[in-house]
Amino acid sequence: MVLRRSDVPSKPRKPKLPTKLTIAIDGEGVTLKDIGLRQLAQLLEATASAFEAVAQEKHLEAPKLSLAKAKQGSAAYELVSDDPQADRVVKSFVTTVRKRGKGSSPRTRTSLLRLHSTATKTGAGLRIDSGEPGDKKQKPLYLAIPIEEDTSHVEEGTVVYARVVGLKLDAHDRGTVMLRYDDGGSGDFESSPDLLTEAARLIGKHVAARVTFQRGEVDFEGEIERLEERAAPSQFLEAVSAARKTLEEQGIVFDATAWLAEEAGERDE
Amino acid sequence: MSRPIAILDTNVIILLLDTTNTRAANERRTLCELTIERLEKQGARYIVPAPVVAELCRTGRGSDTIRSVVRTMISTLRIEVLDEDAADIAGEISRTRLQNRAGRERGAVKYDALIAGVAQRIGARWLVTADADDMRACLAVINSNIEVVVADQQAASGQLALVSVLRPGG
Repeated sequence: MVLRRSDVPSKPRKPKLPTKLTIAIDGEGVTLKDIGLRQLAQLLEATASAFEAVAQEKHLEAPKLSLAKAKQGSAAYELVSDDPQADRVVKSFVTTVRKRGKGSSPRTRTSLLRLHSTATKTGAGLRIDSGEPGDKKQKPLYLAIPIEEDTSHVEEGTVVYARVVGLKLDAHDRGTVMLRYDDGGSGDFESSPDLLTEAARLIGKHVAARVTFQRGEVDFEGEIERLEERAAPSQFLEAVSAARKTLEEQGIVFDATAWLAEEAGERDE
Repeated sequence: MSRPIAILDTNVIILLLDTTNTRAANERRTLCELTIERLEKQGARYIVPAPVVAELCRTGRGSDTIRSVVRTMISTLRIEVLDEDAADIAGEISRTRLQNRAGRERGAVKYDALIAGVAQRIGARWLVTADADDMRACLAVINSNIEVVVADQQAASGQLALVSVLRPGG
């Protein structure tokens, strides 16, 4: 009897465990009692912001993180997420911390700096642990100030054709307009509050947006400077028909053959 | 996956705007419209290079009204800027094509080269034109894979070819 692969019942898949990440205020004699409620709130907020920045850079949705446990042994806070993309974001976050923000977007670097300064206000360092509990091989990873980068970026202005798909206004009144480009991909551009109001009116619509990019070793989206609504691309032939009608109404005869003949004459000169 | 790009040449826009209502002009215009619809069905996204706008809005033939109408009409499309890379490609096309015109090169970077440069730069799949020979010659200089689509001609295959066979006197 030949045993086929299909005859063997497949093993039931293990249910996916939630993604975990522990952040700990690590210092000699530091315990949970040493971290005030306000400090803890600031620390968690800064952590969430850093996660959002990393997720945005990787074009992933920021995972929903929850505080699952607070543990002694310094003051350690275990964060968990059931979101499928959480594992990738945690790995990217750990890599970014390990590389001290090198090559990351300005937003990620700012959020890391903020997390670092929030943690140092407690008088101790911030340890990040994404490994399994008891994983001895993994060296403890401490958050350090992001490396000073060569800021030789060139700011380039251009027009992108896109749809407005989202808006954000953070606690510091900094606005972000999210654009989905007509030719695929998306970008998040900083915006003034006034422009954010204009963008809110245009949500879901086709726009031509004057934006800037920071061009360097790695390119980043910059700011949005102007937004103009435009017709959906498929309306071109309708626009052609309307244009001809306008010309006819005004009694203008547009002779394409004569125009093209004139053009051909110029070319031959 | 992003949609394939089709570049519209100036002469196609000019043919589409014709209001003389002569039989020949109407036929060419209809063929242009059918070509645009055909490519649209294949998912084409139409883009107008900035040099096309320059060519359409230059002084000479055409009143302010025509210029204004043209601007409104093409505002439904994406206008692609002539950036440094595109200009570089256009320069290469012109340089090669003008080798036999020694001494007369000044100001001779033609619109065709600029349009082809933009098309190549943004990775267009089609270049829709009524002047296939010149465009093919420009694209050949840079070994481009862009397919030149003749807007005012019957398609060689597909439904339009069938229409051509069935048309009385066709």
